[in-house]
Amino acid sequence: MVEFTLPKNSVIAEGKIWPKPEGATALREFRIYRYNPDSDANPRIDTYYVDTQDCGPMVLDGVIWIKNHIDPTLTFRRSCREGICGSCSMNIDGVNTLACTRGMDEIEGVIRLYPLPHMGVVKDLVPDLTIFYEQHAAIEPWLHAGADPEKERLQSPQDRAKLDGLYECILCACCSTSCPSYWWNSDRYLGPAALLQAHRWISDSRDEATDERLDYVDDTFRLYRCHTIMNCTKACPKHLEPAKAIADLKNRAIARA
Amino acid sequence: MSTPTHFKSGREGRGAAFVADHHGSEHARFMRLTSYALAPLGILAVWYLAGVVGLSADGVRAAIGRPFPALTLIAFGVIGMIHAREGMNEIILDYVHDPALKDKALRANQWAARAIAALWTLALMLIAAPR
Amino acid sequence: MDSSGSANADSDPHGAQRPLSPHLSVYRPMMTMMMSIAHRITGAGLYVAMALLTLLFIGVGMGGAFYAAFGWLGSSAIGGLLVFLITWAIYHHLLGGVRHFLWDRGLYMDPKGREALAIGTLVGGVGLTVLTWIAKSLAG
Repeated sequence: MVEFTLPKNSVIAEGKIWPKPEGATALREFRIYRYNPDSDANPRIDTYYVDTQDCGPMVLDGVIWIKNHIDPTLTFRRSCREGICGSCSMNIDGVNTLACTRGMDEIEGVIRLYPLPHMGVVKDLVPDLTIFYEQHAAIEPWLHAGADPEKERLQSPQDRAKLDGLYECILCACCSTSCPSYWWNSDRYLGPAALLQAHRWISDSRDEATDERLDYVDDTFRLYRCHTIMNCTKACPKHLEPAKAIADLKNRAIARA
Repeated sequence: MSTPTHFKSGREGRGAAFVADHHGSEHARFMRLTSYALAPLGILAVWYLAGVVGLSADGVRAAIGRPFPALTLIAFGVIGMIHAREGMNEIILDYVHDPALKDKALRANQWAARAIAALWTLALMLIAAPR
Repeated sequence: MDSSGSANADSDPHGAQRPLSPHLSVYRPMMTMMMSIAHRITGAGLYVAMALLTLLFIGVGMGGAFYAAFGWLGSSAIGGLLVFLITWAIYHHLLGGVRHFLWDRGLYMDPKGREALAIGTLVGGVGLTVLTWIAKSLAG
């Protein structure tokens, strides 16, 4: 049976309350999920206070401020700080999004940070994305076409436009890990991110494996664990629509069944 | 186990195996088709069900024993239980991961749904039968 | 990708022992997700409801001891409440189906549309139930 509650080693304990920075006038409270793989202790929630006068406006700025000024052991992924690398995805204020594009002022009260939901935690806010990448690889996200042509493969502007809203995915995993169906069946369900990419290649006029791609996803688990819960589309920090892509995949699969 | 460590892609190598069960589409189409029938039947069923509350046995017979209500309710029950069986299968596939238990649950669901549909039909035929 | 896999989980001794990050307990309850859950609960509930109603109809159809055993489902106050809830569940599930019908066609998936459909399911289900029972009591 699926477990709706957390396993014993994952139950979250009360953590440490770190001292407030001295002389700060505008404080913001952060409660952050901490887990250290080198200790036997369960995960815990630590409380930090960020001096917003001394800090940039985004949640990522706050986390970096904490790492620089309070606790250098706080671990998270980040790179571009402008919403294009997809590294700093996490559960912020109850919703999966990128820390670098979510402003602190968009959140009321305490800022709560957890790793992406229902994932193995490597350390603190860093989830194990192995399965997520395996799913991406499984849909073979590259052009399937015949032998290399003499001239480049041309694509009309109209056909190119069909890829808009699909190619922009940054593989941050916000959508897949927001999906309850993905939580319960990620070993067999491809998840919204991989399905959006499957749809991206199926929609590509240059790709010649449309049938094989549909054939691969047309499966009780790979595609049809989607129950149109809509968390994916709501979570996407790039405003893409995985749910719509999946609906189209289903309609295409049903039409050929 | 609630935390899988690998995705079962079903592929043997790069592009070697596009193996899928293809049942998902049949199921989805089946749910859609049955729901088209159930939408009007459901509204009528609500109307008849709301009409039997607080009545005696004779009252219930008078309310739904006529041919149209009885046939409507039979259709609602039979199509509804087919739809419900398929829906319950989805729930089982979502939540029951142990292969043996899943198999048992799926079979129990088959028989429970059939039994309910059969008894439902029989009961309404008894209600509608002239006495 | 099944066996070759990634170096990560194979070579990492922590792989299987990692704690699981919190999910249901931290994800913000949102209208669309709640209505999805409600769709499933009403669906499963109607499965049970059909069994109960079957018992009632067997009681009415067979009469005698059968009616003595199951007649309360129709005649008593608790039975009445159950039937009331069943009619609500039918409406709610039906409107959930309409929501899925629209979403399956890619309609109303925009931020305003999806919220409207989710709230519409909830309000519509309750509204139609109340209207039906009022109409039924007026019709006698």
